[in-house]
Amino acid sequence: MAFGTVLVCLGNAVAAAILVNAAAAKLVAPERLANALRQLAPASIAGWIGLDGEGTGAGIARTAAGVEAAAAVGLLVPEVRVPAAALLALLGACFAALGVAGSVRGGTAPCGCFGVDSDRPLGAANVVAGLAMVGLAALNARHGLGAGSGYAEAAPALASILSIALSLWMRRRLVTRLLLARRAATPGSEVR
Amino acid sequence: MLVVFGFALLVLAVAVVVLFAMIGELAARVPAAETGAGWVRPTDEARLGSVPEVWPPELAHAPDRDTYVLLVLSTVCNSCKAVAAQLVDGQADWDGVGIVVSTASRRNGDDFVAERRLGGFVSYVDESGSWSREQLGVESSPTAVVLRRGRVVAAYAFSDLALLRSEVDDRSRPSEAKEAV
Repeated sequence: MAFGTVLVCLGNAVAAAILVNAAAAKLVAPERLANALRQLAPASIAGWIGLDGEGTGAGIARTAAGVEAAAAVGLLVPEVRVPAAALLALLGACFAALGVAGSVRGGTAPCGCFGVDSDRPLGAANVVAGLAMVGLAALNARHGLGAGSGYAEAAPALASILSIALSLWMRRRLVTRLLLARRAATPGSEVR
Repeated sequence: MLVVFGFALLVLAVAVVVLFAMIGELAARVPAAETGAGWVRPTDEARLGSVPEVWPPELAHAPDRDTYVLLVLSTVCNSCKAVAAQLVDGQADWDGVGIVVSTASRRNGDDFVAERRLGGFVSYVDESGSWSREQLGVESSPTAVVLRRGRVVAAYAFSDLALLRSEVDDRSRPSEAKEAV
């Protein structure tokens, strides 16, 4: 595998793993992102985009999750990799714009980018992540994959492993807590 | 073939990630008390109503106290270490408590007392756990045994010392005292 292909494969696998985790979290708990969006949306357009009251915005969060999932899978299929990269660039631009809006307006609600595991408001980190996604999309657009490059075999497997690893890492406190509780909690369980 | 395998793996990974996300969300919605953050439960695993026939010198004063609590901790039990930390950090003013360190060897027991900074409390190193087993009927740890004038009146399995102390204090009030004799 050529160096450029390895780079694209690694970058896309990492991006897919992040997007899969972000999409799963938003599908399960869309209200956190919805809260953050409601806090940032200017009153003049809040009603127009469906963010005009308590409990609104979950549909937007779920739609974002769907787009993220589509981009994640698309990045791993050589035939649709470039269109998926365009979707990735669009997502990255949105994230960066939301990060700028969060920084400017001083949002305090957790962004919910990764569900309950993200407690920071929209801000600089989202700008950096968004720009990185745009950069990766540009790399995909520039770099073609030759026939028999091995990308189709390597990228999905790598993305799968990274997805699970990232999911475990994000919930490491919960995993630790559950393991400790399992070892120590029940009355009479610690027989000498 | 490898491509099919890769995407099958991806489908499985996505399912696992969604499952983890659901578990994380559920765990965040469950109140802390229900996840084992703190509890006290009465247990029958003690000789309720009996008076130990033999008292170690370290605990010889226990029968003279109206209410006295023995915390049976083991050197090999993880939650006992947490209990020891709670005792030192939050209940250092509790003078009606003694510690029975159940251990395989005296050295391990002494190390446990020193490492957990329990030197300020009355403690008895119970080698092989024979005294707590034969005289109190306690087989597991951590267990709190409540004594009234040396008689075993209650026993609790617990994870939170503040809750335990509150329970013991409630029980010690004359109107609510329930002798288990």
